[in-house]
Amino acid sequence: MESEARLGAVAHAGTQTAAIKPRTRPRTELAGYAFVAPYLIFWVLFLFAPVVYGFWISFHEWDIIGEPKWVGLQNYLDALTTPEFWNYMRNTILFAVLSVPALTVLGLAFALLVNQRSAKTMTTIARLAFFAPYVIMVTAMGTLWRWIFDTNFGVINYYIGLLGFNRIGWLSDKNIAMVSVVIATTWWLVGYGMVIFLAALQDIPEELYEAGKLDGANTPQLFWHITLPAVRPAAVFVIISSMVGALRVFGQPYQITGGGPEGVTQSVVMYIYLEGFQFFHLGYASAVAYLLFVVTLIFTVVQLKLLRRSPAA
Amino acid sequence: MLKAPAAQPKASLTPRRLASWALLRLALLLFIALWAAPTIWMYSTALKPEGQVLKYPPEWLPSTTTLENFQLVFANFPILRWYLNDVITACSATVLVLITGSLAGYAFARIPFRFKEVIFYGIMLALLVPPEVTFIPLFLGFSEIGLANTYAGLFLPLVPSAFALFLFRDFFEQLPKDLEDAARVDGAGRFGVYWRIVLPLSTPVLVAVAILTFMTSWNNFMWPLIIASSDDTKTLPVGMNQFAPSFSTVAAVGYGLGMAGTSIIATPALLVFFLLSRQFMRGVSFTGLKG
Repeated sequence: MESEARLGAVAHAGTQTAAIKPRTRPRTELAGYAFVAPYLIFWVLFLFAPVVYGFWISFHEWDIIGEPKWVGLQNYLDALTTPEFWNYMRNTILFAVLSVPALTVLGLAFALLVNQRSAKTMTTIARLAFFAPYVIMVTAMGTLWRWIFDTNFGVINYYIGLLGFNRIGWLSDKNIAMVSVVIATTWWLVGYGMVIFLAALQDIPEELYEAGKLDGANTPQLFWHITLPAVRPAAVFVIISSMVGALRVFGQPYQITGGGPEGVTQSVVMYIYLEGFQFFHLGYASAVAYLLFVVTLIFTVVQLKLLRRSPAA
Repeated sequence: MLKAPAAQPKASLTPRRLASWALLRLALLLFIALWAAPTIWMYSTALKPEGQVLKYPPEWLPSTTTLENFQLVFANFPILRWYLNDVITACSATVLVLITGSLAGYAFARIPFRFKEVIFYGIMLALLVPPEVTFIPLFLGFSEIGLANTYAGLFLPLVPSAFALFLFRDFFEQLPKDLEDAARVDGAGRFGVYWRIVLPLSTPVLVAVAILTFMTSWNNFMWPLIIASSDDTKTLPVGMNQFAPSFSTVAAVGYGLGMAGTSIIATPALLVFFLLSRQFMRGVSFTGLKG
């Protein structure tokens, strides 16, 4: 058999290495290309080509009826000098700044809560309860929260009224609208972070805690020195993916507030949607999309650099 | 002031233990209630007749229940069609991702070929690109070849998922090589090894990617909004968008109807989730651990 022959040859050659060295340098098996081809075809057709095409469009002015007209960097300049663009960018970043910590911290908190060994039934129910909203799609979630946040008839304001406070304009008050969207988003997505953190928590060997207790550590110290470092990779993942998702937010503001009141909750992606598919400023919308791409890239790189730098281990 | 704690006797019911026992359960109860409340409220509203929806004080358990909201929704909107569209799209996308992703993932993990590294990292660059950047060109491209407003238009862009490929490759790399080597020595070709040895061992990653892809497609809102313009092809999120009450009115009728629609959408998903919750959450955590 092939492998035995090779073993024999190597033994005779008297090599020291334990591994069997291939006779030639790594062969190229055509099978490799065949296996990769289907995926690659889809990738080129539906990812690479559109990205390039979209880039090309961003340098043109086009409203789908006429011919595209080359305008160079004009679209980009227009975007960067329009107050609306910065307004929506600010909204989107605000959304990210609010929702990412909420999702991460609450995700970890819930994971810790349901990781307790006692109260088995309750923690099982809790896991389901916290994750279930994640399977509800954004339109349903958005409509539901629009109803809950309703100023006059929403259930939250009713209880606030009972407590003797004034009704809050959850969706009509410019200062609160974004917070409301973040609250709804947190309810919706926290389960995802919880599951990821839970998996990380369950990977921590029990002995570490035992050893720590024997050394005289109390609970906060155990948490700080054992738990937190152990969930670090999970936290990085949750933070970065929540952030990228937050920068691209569209469904929640679209459904819950429609971008209002007065555009306070409108996100950049909603801007792209309106400009591209309602007003058909295709070149301009493409340019905004690429600007968002750059912003996302910068945020991701910065976050990775900040988070990867480990404190004194 | 730290005291090395002595070994705790198991059954001691000190006030401190009692307190933490109660606190834990209280916290759990509170948050479970908080998290379940919106969904309960949704069903509660959906079951109320028109006049009762805005009744003050709001009732959690409706005093009169009715199915008229649901009937209205089904009568006026092609919900079942939208559901079907969503399912077809999600299934098609999932099947294609599983096939193309696992094949490519196996190749990257095990088969030597020239430019392997370059191609792989090139593909991974896609992870950096937000999909929104592709929407306009895809829309234009699909419209031109007549695929706008078709199922294909809905699910094709979802197939090249860099993340799925990453998961597959990672999983295959970690499989112990012995079985594969033995099969190859026995004369099995690459595809035979893939099909008969590797795939049967790949249930965790297949399930995880399937859930990931299905959920991504199922929940997809913006792309279907753009590409599906008729009821025949609209998916659930897009169709539902139509009868959400408008922003400017406090349409009481709207909300009962709206909640009925929301319930119709949410219930099957919730049911499936409760039945398969363990697999679901395991699949999600799998994607996170590898990320």
